[in-house]
Parts: sequence; structure tokens; C-alpha cells
Amino acid sequence: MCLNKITVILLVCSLFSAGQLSGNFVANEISDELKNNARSVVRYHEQTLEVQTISDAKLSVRYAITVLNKNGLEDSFLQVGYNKNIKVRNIVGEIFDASGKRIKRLSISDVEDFSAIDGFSIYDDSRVKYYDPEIREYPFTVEYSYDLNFNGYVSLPGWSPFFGSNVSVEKSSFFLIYPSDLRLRYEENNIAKKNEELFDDQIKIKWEMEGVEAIEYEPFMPPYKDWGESVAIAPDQFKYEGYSGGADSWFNLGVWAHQLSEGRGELSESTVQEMRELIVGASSEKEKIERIYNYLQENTRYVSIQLGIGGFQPFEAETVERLKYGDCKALTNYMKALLAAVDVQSFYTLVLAGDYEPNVSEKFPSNNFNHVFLCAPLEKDTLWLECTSQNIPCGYIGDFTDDRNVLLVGEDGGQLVRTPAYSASSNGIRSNSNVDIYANGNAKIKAVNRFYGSYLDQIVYRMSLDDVSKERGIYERIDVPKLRVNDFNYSIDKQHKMGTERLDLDVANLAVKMGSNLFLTPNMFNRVEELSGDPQKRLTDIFIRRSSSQSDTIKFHLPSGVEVSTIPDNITIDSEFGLYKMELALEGQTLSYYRYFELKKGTYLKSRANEFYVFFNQIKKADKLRIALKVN
Amino acid sequence: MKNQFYFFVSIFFFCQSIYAITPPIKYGKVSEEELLMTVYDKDSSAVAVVLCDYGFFDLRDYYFTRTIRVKILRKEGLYLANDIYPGIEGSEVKGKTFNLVDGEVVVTKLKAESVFRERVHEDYYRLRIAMPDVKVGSVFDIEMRQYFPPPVWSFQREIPVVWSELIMPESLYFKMQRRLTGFEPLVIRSRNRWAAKDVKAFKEEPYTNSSENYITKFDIDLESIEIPGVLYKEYATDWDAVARRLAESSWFGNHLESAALYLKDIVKEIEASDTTDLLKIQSAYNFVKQINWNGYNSIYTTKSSSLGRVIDEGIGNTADINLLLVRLLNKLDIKAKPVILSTRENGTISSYYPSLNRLNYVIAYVDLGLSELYLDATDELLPLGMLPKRCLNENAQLVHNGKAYYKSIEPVFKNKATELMTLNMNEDLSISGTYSSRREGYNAYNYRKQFEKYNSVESYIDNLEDNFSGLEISDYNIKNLEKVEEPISESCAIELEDAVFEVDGKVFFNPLFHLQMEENPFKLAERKYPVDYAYKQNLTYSISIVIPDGYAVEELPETIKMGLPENAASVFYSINAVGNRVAVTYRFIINKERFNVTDYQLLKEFYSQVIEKQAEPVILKKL
Repeated sequence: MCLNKITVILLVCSLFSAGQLSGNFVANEISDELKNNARSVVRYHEQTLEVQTISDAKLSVRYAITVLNKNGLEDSFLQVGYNKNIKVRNIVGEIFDASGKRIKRLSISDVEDFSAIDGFSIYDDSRVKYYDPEIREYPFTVEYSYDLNFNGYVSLPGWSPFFGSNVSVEKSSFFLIYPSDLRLRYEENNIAKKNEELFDDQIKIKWEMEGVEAIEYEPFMPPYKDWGESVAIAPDQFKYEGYSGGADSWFNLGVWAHQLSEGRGELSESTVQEMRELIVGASSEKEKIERIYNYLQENTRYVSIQLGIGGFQPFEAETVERLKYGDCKALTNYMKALLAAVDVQSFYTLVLAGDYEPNVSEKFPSNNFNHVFLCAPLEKDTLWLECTSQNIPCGYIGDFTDDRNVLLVGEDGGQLVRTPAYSASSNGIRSNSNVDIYANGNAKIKAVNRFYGSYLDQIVYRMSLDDVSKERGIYERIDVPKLRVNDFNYSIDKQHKMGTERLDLDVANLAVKMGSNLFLTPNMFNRVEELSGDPQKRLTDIFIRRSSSQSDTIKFHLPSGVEVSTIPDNITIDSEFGLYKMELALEGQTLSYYRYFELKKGTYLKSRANEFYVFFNQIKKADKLRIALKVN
Repeated sequence: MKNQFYFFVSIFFFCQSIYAITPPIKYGKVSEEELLMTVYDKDSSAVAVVLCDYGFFDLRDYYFTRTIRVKILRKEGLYLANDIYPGIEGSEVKGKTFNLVDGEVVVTKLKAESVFRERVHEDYYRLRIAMPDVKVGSVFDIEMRQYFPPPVWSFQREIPVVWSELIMPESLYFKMQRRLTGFEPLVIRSRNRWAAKDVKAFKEEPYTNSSENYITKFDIDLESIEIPGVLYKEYATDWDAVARRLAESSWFGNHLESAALYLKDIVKEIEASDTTDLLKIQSAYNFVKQINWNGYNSIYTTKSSSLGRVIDEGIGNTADINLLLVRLLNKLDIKAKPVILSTRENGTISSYYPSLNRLNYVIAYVDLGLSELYLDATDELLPLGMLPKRCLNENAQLVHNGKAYYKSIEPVFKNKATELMTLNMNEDLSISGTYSSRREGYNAYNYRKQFEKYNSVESYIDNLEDNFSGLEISDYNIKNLEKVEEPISESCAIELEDAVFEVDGKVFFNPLFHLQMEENPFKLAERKYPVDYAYKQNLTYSISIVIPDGYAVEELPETIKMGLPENAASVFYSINAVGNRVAVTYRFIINKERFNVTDYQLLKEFYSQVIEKQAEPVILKKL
């Protein structure tokens, strides 16, 4: 009897906790401001994070979203990611038509289950629960709720009322609940309002936002964290698959990361011997590292496998030695072991890699990294070693890892340091071309383009293609009506960290013939594109992530009998955002064109958007400049 | 008795012959020559090469064994050592990597740690394999064994294949349909054995309908299984058999037989209001179009019971929607029948090789006596008789009463548009005026589709303005956007900045302004596969520009008229000046849906000449 009662109570509880949805959604009650530019509108979104212990947490999510048109269709799908340490529970869903009438209830048998291995991994254990309510009559509303149970964690989910561009939000809230003896920290970005309740044994904090209008993509947009509301949560202590750690300081997070790779650096005696032989005659530490890095590149390949703690722990160096492949952690750990074999010290380094990732704030230690590489400190010049590429120069740092805070993992703890940033002069493309123009307007072009800094990655990519795809890429990038690629060549100068593209091209009608005139646009290939959007309506600041400079020097060799009617004046556009120069000179039958375009790293207030667009429009106009040639 | 004896004897001999063939590859037996190879002589740019790919279906136990040997030639080819293979849960895998180290062959075995079985969805598995110890110069072997053959065998891959062989014996018990597609020849084509030699790497090209059509491969379909006296099951021996199977299916034919009482009301309604067959068809089509397509292609309905539920739920797949349309038309005494086909992405079906597995779409066919109509009610933006691009894939089969009839699907509509601009060049050399357009057929359809992507007319215009720098649009008006049976017409006022430039007291402008075609869609020097536009094109621009006082026309681009043989494509471009008015007429026509590879150079040249011609400016002089 007693048992039955308990069952009933449990049933009622579960109905109230996850099973109950609020209903009542009339699509045309949404305000016009929130409908503006929106494909769908989040009616409410409630996220409750209950952290019970250092290894148990539960995230309950409930939300309703009204899909206004076809473009928002995917917002109506339920997509819940999980893996073997995150369990999905209590999926409930209901569907409402435009008038708010319920037309469907999610049945658990309709929820499908797929593997969700990311594009670059050979294997990981991510899966997704997926449900399409199959409504194609707009507008309509879906309401879902589900729980995620975390069996161990190293980081915790945070919150933001942002659900992608063209989605507005009526109301979004985040409720954090945890026992007062558990130490959690949170980092607020652009948050105005919060509500904190302290009980004897529990802490409850609630963040809320109302009426967030839909935003569209804007060029030079800063990462969301810089302008939008968000809260990040980090535990001081955590436990995952038997490994306990602390994230209360960068130092302690480093202790945990070190513990995971400890004892995994053993190499076979023969490999140790091979490394010692490899460095014989090396004149400096740097040269030793270069030789060993080259060995790594010649002998291993990158294969991503992410499983459980394997998502954080490298395989043993011996395994890489045997398989000749590994993921970023395994290859970094292996490289570290190879260096250690010749007594060169290096540090396993955690990084939030990617061109669009936000800044990792120094004041908020948290395990929010997605990649690992190696840092080898030298007296003058620290080397950063990306161990997953077979092609880049030793010590090359691309837009994936440059200019950001990273965590060095030492034997006794972690330390947050910053990777170097590129200056405008060290980052860009220098192009030198010689162009023979014929009287009919056809041209023969020989170009040498040198890629520096983050741009070198483009050459690394092009070199990774087979010859057919390399050639096809040239046809696709160069936008002229009729082109013939006679020859091309790609190379990387590892010493100078420079990539070179050499092209030999024939172009028909590079100059357009009109009667006795030829019209030539000297900027053949490198024109700036129109900035989309209206500067008056700009919502975010202008964010130039890294400084860069492009220079083009082109010598046009004109046939005899062809004259330049007038040489347009040189142009200089100098602004705080950057510098643009265009210079033309005629010497005999050679017309020289020089273009320089520099962008300066920084965040510029959105109130200056107009100025920025004017700067770009002036350049765009200068890039289109045409010269009239006279054919005698 | 005699029959049965014959039966077993034939199987015996048959097996003998197949098992007597020496396999082209023996797992694990790599030659020194293969290890020493540094370049593939037939294609020196190859980053890796498949030395042998051998599939063998053993009738004795119904197991299929695939043995593949790959040689890595360059660093860029290392990625081929990580690959994904279709499989089933119980697929057995073994693998070995061979390296030549100081003249010695070093063998590294593939272990379970490097084989991952991904359960993609339900019973569909993939094997994800990362071969160990692979570097430039390595050769590796993988052998996979599984129950039953895979549905596809590709002779061609993204890297060259030296030898690819498939042995698929047929028995009287077990019949299969094997259909070959692609452009590479086979060197062996016997009843049970097929092989290709030195197959070139496959590269995708723009404007093709589906790579599925061009890659050289076999589609393997189960035709029938027979266990004498116990079971006989027929799958697809000919198109009539396909039609018979569909006719018997609860997910197809049964719907066409049912009384369809759920249609009673709508039949009554249509019969009361519409008098002619064409009006009835239009009303039925509009009614069924209200049902939303769930985005899934299938020849089978989602329901085996009544399609009435599809109406109630307001959503369905292609079969739900179009079989419902057929049924409704039949109830209205219109001769409508289902037509089954394969979409462009799914590959073309052959009229000679019946295959149920290859079909993924049903449309409705109406015989009007003198003319015929093909209808697809899955897209509300389609006018009556227009098929979406996905269906324009040549071959189709009409199925009726257990019989199949070949139908060739050709688009009835064109991509047709007329755009007019009446412009004034002002004293300050800015341009202002009006623009209007009339869009028909696929042009209107594509325009409506495009329009749907924007959340408002304003954001559509913003995007247009962003695409053409210097273009400003006001007083925009669009008619018939929602009336899909009608052409679209647009009108607006426009301003164009930066469209005119001055050199040495002369003024230059491009008379097509932002309507100029800027990019040649065909850039590659060579092409291997046909160009497929799906439908014909017919674009007309008519532009007039009034030039300001104080200027006179100095030079105009010459009028041209050119075309491809048999009028397959043509362009007419004329620019005339009368007084202070410059009048431009431009007509661009593509009169053929498909161009053979042999026509590629001509077509590419045609486009580049059009683009060059369009780049020529009008020159004005100051008086």
C-alpha cells in the first residue's frame, strides 16, 4: 500500500516537474517589434541548472517557439545532443496552431536517434535525439521540455537569450540552484538584472531577459559575448570519469590537465635513440625543435577520436608511435615526449581555437577549451607548435590560435599566457605581377603572390589539394570572363614562414576595346566587396580581429602604339580603421600600379559605422578605377 | 524430378566456374613492386591510388567479401587512410598496413582500437576505420565480410582505381538486378563478373544534374528469391513487374482502389462549381496543394490505411500528396494516373533496367486527349502543369493496372523574363528612372522561391541593393507574387550611382547597367560530363537612356547577333541612338535543356563572348 502511495506521489511530481507545459500561444499576439526581421520568436525559454555534487548536475530546459515562416522551420525541430555521460530524460512536446489550439502531442516513439559525429572526427560518441513535428503551415508554435543528466562534468552549461540571427525572444530565464557548500562561480556579460536568493543550505540565482529583438548578421561583427547578454558558470571543483580537478584557479586547472597526461609520455628506447641521433649537429635549441617537428610531420597524421575522458586525455605516446596517428592531444603529448627525449622542455597547452571564438577572460578560470597544442619556450623566441598539420612551418601560428589567452600545463600547475598577435606588416598578401597587354586587349599575366601570417593557411590548404583541384580553385577565384591557366606552383618557405603562389595566366579582353580606345581596370583581381547592411541601423560595434595589409604591385607592359591618355591622380585614404593607397606611374611603355590596403585591429563603436562604410565605399570606388588607353 | 535434378547440376557447374576464377587480389599478399611504387604512371598527380577493389558474393553462404588495397603516394593522400565504409552491425573487418623500411617489409595489423562501428540510425551502421602506421609510400589492405551484398558497387572513386572487380553470381534461387551507370568502360562484362581497369578519378562539375549519374558504378537490386516449393518472391524483373508490385501495395495501389469516402465533400464542391475538365483539374490541384509537403521523397505513402488522414493532418510525403491528387481527379472522372520517377539528386533511371529501389518520387499524369499534364502538388508555388526541377530527370514510368508505360519528362515551361528600364542621365551624371519586369514560368517560380527566403519585402530590397553597389530602389511594387498561375510583374523607381565615369572630357557607361552578366558559369578548360540546365531560358532586356543636354553619342557597341548550331543558344544585342536617346535591346536564349560534353567548348566560348560584348561601354562626348 505504502509503495503505491509513493508511486503516485512520484508520478504527480514528475508530471509537474517536466511533464507540464504551459500552452496558450496565439501567434498574432506577438508584438510587431519582435516580428520584425524574425523567422521565429522564442515565446519563453527557461533553463534550470541544478548542480547537486561535484560530479552530478541536471539541466532542465523548457521552451516554446513560434515559427513565423519557412525560414524558421528548423527552429521547430527538437534536437538534443547527448553522449554516454549525458543522459536525456523526460522529453515532452506539444504543438499549437496559429490560434494557439493544440494540434499534436509529441509521442516518444516519434523521436529519432542519430549519431552526430562531427565532420572532422573519425569517431566520437555524440548522438542526437531528433524530432520533426511535421508542421508546414505557418505560423505555428512548438513547446518542448527535457532534462539532461550529467554524470560527471568538467564544465557546466551557461546561458544566453540568443538563439541565432533572425530569432527574437519574448522571455528567457536561467535559474541556477546549488548547495551552499558547493563552490560555483559565474561570469556575467552585459547583464543588467539578476535575482539572488540565499538559503541555509542552498543558493538560487535567477537571470532574466525580456523582449530581445531579432538581429541579422552584420559585417565585422564582434563575437556574441562582447555585445550580448550571457552568463557562464564554472565549478571550483569537478569530477569526471574518476578524475577530480579544480577550476578555482588557472593553476589548479593546469594541475588537473597535467594529471590526465601524466605517465603518458613513455617512448620506446629505439625512438629515444632516433631522436638523439636526429639532433646531432644541431646548432641551437631551435634547430633541434625544428628537426623533431619535421620528424613528427613526416611520420604522423591527424585523426580525431573523442570518447569520454578521451575527450580530455591524450593517448599514450607509445600508442601514437605504433599507430602513427592521433588527435590533437595525442600528437601534442607525443611531440612533447619526443622533445623530452633530447631534454628540450615544452608545455602541453589548452586553447579555445577558432577564428570566431570569444576571448577567454583571465578572471574567470573555466575549462572552456577545444584544442591542444605545444609551447616550447626559448630564450628569445617562444615556439608554438601545432602538432596536427603535416604542412605548416615549425612555430607557425594561424588564425586558429593567434592573439589569445591559452593555458600552459606545467608539472606543478597551469599558467595563463597570451599567444602572439600579428602586426599589419606581418600579416597579409604581397602580390607582384607583370602583365603584357596586347593591342586587342588580351593579356599575359605572370604573378607571384606571397602569403604571410594568418594568410599562409590559404597556401597550406591549396597545397593539400590534388593538381586538378588546385587548378580548378584558380579558375574559381579569378573572376574574368575568359581565363587560361598555363602554369601554377605553390610552395612554402618554412624558414621565413611564407607561402608563395606563382601563376602564369592568359586573359582575354583584360582591357576592353572600344573603337580606338582600350579600357583597363588596373586592379585586376583584388577588389574590396560591398559591405552589406545599413550603417544607420547597425546594432553591433565594428570589430576588426587582426591587423592586416595587402599590397599589389603590377607592371603593365603596353605594346608600342598604345598610349595612356591621362594618368589618374594618386589616391590616399587615411582613417583610423586603416590606410589605402593607390599610385600610378608611367615610364616608357610600362604603366605601374601600386595598391596598399591596411586594416587596423580594434573594436570601433557602432556610432562610427557610417564613417567605416564611407571608408569602405571610397576604397571600393578607387578599386574600380579605369584607365583609358589610346590605340594609334 | 528431372527438373530438380537439372537445377542442382546447373548450380553445381555454375559454382564451379565462378570459384575457378583466380581472385585479382589476395588479402595480405602485397608485392614488392606495389611497395616500391612512387607515382601512378597513368595519372602522375594522383595523391593515392586504389590498387585493387574486389567484391565477391559467395552463394554458398550468402556472404559478401570486399578486399581493397590502397597505395598512398603523397602527403595529400594520407586522409584516405581514414575512411568510412557502409556496413551492417556484424560486419567483420581485418586490415594490414605494409611499409618498406630499409628494404624490409614491416606489417602493422589493424586492431579493434582503430575500428569504430557507428550506429547512424536504427539498423544502419557505418564502419569508420583509421589504418595504423600509414605514411607516404604505405600500402594497406582492408577486408570486410558481411551477410548479403551492399546496394551499390562503385568502380570509380575520387582517386584513380587500377582494378575494380565484382563477382555476383546469380542462381535460380536468388536473382538480382545489376545496373551499370557512368562513363568509364568495363573491361570484363560477363554474366556474373564485371571489372574496370585504370579508372580515372571522379571530380564533380557544376551544372550537372547528379554525380550519381556520372560516377561509374553498379546498383544492385534484389529481383527475386525462390526456395522451390517454399517461397517465391518477385521484386523487379521488368517494369510491368514493378507496376504489379506497386498495384498490390497497401502503400501505393490500394489507395487508388479505395472508395475514398473522405473525398466526398470536396468532390461535391468541385462538381458544383466547375464545369470544364480543366477547371476541375485546377480546383483539385489547388485543393491538394494545401496539404504541406514534409520534405520527404517516396513512392510509398506514409499511411497504409486511408489517405483521409493526410488531409486531416495537412501534411504528407510526395506519394501521400500526389496519389491523393490522382484519386481525387479519378473521382471527378478525369483520367489521371500515377507516374513514378527518380529525382535529379537520386540519379536517372534507365528504361531498360527496372529497379524499384531507384525510384523515389510519384507525380500525377492527366490525359486530356489532345494534350497531357504532369502535376506535382507538393509545392504551393507551382502553377498547374509545372514540375519542380527535382523531377526533370528524363525517364519516368506511368503505372496503371499492373502495367508500366515509358514516359519522357520534358519541361513545359521556360525560364522566361522581360526587364525594362527607362532611365535619365542627369546633369551631374547620376542615373535615375524606372524599372519594371515580367517574369514567367520557371523564372517566376524561382523568383517566388527566392522571395520566400526573406522575412519581409524590405529585407528583400535591402539584399538587392547590397548585391548591386550603387543601386537604390524606391516605390517597389510587386504583383501576383501569391497568384502562382499568373506571371509576376514588378515595378519601382531606381537610382544608380557610380554607373557613369568621365575620362578626358568623355563619358563612359555600360548600357546594361546592373543587368550585366558578370561571371562565366563555365570556367574550366575541360569538362567530362554533360551540361544540364533542366529547362530552357529566354531573357529580354529593353533599356532606354536619355542623355543630358550638352552631350552627344560618340561611340556605341556594335549590334551583334550570334548563336550556336541548331539554334541551341542565341544572343541578340543592339544599341541604337536616336537624338538624345540611347535604346538597348538584349535577348538571351538557351533553347535546349542538355548539352553534350562535345558542345562544352562552344557553350563556354558563347558565354565568354556574351560577357565580353556586354562589357563594352557607350561613349559620350561633351559638345
